[in-house]
Amino acid sequence: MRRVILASVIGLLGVTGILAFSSNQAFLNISNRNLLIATNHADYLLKNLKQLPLDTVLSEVRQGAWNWSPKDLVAKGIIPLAGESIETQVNGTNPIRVTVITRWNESGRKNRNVVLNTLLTKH
Amino acid sequence: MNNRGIALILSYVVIMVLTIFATAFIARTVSDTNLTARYMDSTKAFWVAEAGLNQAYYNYKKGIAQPVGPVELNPGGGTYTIDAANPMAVKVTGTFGRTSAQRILRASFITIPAAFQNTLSIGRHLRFTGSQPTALEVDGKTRLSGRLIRDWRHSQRDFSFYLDSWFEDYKEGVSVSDTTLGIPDYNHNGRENEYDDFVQMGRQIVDTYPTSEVIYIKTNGEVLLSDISNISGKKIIFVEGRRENYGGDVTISHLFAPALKTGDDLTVISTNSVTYYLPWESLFPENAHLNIICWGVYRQPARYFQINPRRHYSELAPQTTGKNDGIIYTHDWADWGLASGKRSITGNIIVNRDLVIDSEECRLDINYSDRIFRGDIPPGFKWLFGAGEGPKYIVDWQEAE
Repeated sequence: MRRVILASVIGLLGVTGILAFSSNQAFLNISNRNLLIATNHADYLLKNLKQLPLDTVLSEVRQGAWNWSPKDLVAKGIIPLAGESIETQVNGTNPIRVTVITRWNESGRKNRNVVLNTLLTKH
Repeated sequence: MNNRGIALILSYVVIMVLTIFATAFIARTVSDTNLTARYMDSTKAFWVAEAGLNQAYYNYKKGIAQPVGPVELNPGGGTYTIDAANPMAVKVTGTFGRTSAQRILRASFITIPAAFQNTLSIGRHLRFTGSQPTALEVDGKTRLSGRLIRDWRHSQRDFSFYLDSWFEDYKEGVSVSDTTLGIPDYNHNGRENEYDDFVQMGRQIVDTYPTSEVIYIKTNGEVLLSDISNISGKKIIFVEGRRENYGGDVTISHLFAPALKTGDDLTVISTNSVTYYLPWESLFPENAHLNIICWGVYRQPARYFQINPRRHYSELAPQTTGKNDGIIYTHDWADWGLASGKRSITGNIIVNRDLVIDSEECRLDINYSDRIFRGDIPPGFKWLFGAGEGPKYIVDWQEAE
């Protein structure tokens, strides 16, 4: 009987372990997926921003036209992540340093973000 | 039967199965995480490369030396390496993250020579010859390094009275650096403007386009471009002769341009002369461009060239109206024969030596095209843009495979 109990305990531990792994994997998969989506959204914004003349980039970013709330994202045909927003910052005059930060909420974890940086100059 | 050890064995089996599952789950999770990290690093590396390219272009415009070795993008991380030894083929590599993801961007930095600011740009004289005067109307700038010479064949009469030419903005005696284009030192022997530089340039142009967009002909003889099927979509026709003044002459019949389609942009390059019979005005496709670069003489005869299929030889048909839309450059001189009728050209015409207009009472309109200054460089032309003064542009941005 003792052996059966021992085997059951070992089995239970094993099952618990595999359930923990599964849950962890599911969580990581969602987390990875969100990271990919957030990176894509920042990339999309930068690619659009890059098409504009430098002076327009400077003025529009400073006016906040390139800070996108979840509503703005939906209006642009983008499905936002939970609580997703994108903030764009510029520094310098020419070339300018552009920083795009995508922030979103992830269940069970603190807020996450992904940052893309580049330089743009007058063409 | 003794089955006292069965529980232990069963528990081993269960643990083994669970371990296999767990290992598979871990492997997949690790793989997903790695893929995500690689993707994110790759995207960041792209923008680091873009930063490097913008910095390189800024340096090029300001005459600042390009940095040697990897440069860190700060803040943000990642490094970019600029290879701009040849401004025509700049390469910037962006590297980012623990996966050391790399993205490579390529572009050309060009300086547009002053000659492209002119509608008509002539390195020496503009000569009017022929038996009858012509009406020449040039929109935009006309710049000559020499002067205008009226050399009518019936020189007893003062035809200047009949000359009804109009230049919107005309200047003589302009520096040749503002009216002509040199051929950069493509054979790297320390001397520019050599025939071999031109040949090397043609070959390099051919190499930069997909084979489906190029026709490359090496010949000892002459090439006739007529109503070629499937010409639409081609970018470059390069005809290379055997040596200077031997082979490679091109004749473009009036049937050639009508085979182009709307939006086509084709440059014919010859190491020798080009003779272009302008197509009927109504047959020149809308928004298509036929550009010409030649080392030898550029001729635009007075009459149409027509193939007689029964006799298998060419004959001439009378000129009425003809049109071309494109940029024309000859390293040598140009000879335009103008018979009665009207011709209209839109583009830039750059003639390094004389432009001779052999006229018989006709009208010629030349309209300026600013396409180059809008960054819309015709195929092959960027290779004529050497270093020096002038507006600078970045063109042909692309990501390397």
